[in-house]
Amino acid sequence: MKFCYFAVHVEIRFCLIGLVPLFRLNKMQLLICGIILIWFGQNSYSANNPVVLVQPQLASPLLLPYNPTQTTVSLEKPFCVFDTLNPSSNANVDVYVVLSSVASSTFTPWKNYKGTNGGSTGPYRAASFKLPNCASPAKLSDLSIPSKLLSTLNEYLIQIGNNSACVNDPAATDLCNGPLGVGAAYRFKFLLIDGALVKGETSWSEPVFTRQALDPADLDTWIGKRTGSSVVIASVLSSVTFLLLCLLIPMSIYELVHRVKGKWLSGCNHKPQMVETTFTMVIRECHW
Amino acid sequence: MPGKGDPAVRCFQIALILGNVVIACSGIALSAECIFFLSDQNGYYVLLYATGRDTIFAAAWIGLFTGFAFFCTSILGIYSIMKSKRKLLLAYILLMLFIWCFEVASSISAITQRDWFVPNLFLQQMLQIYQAPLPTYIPSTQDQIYIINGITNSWNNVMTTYQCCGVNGPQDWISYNSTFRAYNSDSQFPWPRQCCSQAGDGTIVDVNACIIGIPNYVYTQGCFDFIAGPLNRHAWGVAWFGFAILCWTFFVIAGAMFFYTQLEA
Repeated sequence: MKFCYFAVHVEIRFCLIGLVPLFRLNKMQLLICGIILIWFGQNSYSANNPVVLVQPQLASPLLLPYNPTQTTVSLEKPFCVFDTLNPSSNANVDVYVVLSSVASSTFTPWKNYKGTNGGSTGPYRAASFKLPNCASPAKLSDLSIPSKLLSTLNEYLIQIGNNSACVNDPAATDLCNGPLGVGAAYRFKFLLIDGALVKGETSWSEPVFTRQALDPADLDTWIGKRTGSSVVIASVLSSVTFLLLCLLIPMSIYELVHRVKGKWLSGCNHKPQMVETTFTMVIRECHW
Repeated sequence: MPGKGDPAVRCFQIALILGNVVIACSGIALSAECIFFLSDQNGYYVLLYATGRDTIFAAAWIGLFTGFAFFCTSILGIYSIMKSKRKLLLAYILLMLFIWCFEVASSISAITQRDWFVPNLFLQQMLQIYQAPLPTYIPSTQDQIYIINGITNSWNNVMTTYQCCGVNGPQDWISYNSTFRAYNSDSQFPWPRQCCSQAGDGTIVDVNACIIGIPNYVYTQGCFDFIAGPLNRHAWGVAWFGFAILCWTFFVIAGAMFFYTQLEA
């Protein structure tokens, strides 16, 4: 049975039939091999799953300018991608997420968020939705109609990482769309599931980085440079103040000099008086 | 010495009196401008207080009182020049110099503090303090409670009134760690609900579209212009109007000093 087991792991479903003539398995061994293969075939990625060479895309930046956030990524649902595989009308699409560093061409599906530790050991199944209707896709103009907004969004987008409650909830179901890591690169893949079988898949997407959470304490709050007006006002006012205070000095000097010399000058009288002297002097009144 | 009816003396007195009238009117205008600034309709004071850079408001307070003091002292000046009273004129000169120094302080403070209004200053405060939980030891942390409540309420008011989000836009909330992020999950609250478009009666138009981030359902413009704009303009007004008054007052005081030296006791 060694080569049968080997065949399963190489995951070439029909290799056993090619090997039979070489190793002459008896009919019983063939039957058991076949049963094992069929059972594994349902749960394993198989190279014969048709791969549609389309990569999952981020939602349009015109629609969602703030995508991705620190823990969520919004992807466009695959419209008309799996048409060549003729899916039935009740086919589902599963989204698989993996950390970009551990992505590989082979993986075992049906793992969940907790089992893969958030995608760090392998891909996990994050979400499942009905196959989008290729014939009548969602109209983006419907987004401006409030009543149709929610349904149009659901038809067009799938948000990965929007359920933070299921991570710590022991009663949570297997399908947990847990939050993604901050500042990490992830890759996404759509799988076409029809009747509980994997019928096809897309390629892995390009690595998508979630936003890095920067520390606000690192923000530089320095002003950069002083504006010209602050320099002008500070320098002009300081020098003019100095000038004004300096004017006090000549004023007081003049005052003192005048008081000493001023006795012979006639002063302002509060009431007019005629003073007889050797020569007439004009009496000055200084007030208005 | 010029005589009583000397046209030169009369002209000089008239010039000084007119100069003082202008100072009186300008002083009242400065007081009014500072009162308007200090009334702080949008609650920006606490945003500056939390950063420790609230000297703009101090400059406005000084401007308020120097404006009124200019008004009163210039009336004294008009009277003393009209009556040619030496002692009153000396008192006028000294008082004017005293008020002059304070107004210089106000003007220089306002114009230099204006340079501090950079977006990162408000961004750091917003991320660190907005919706922080209140401390539990009440008597010793009144200041922190005032700051936390003040910043949270100010930002809520600004975001709702001016239809803006964050300092530069909603991306501030998802690009940085914040106290808000520590208590609100990224998937349900990428940004506060105040950033969501609201109808006239205050209800949010569509929460799900806002959470996803569709432009018409979340406010995409930043609030920096709405905060720093008024603060900048007010500081500019206090500083340059004060500067203009001082330029004019310089010549009036110099003239008064000269007139004083020409008056006989």
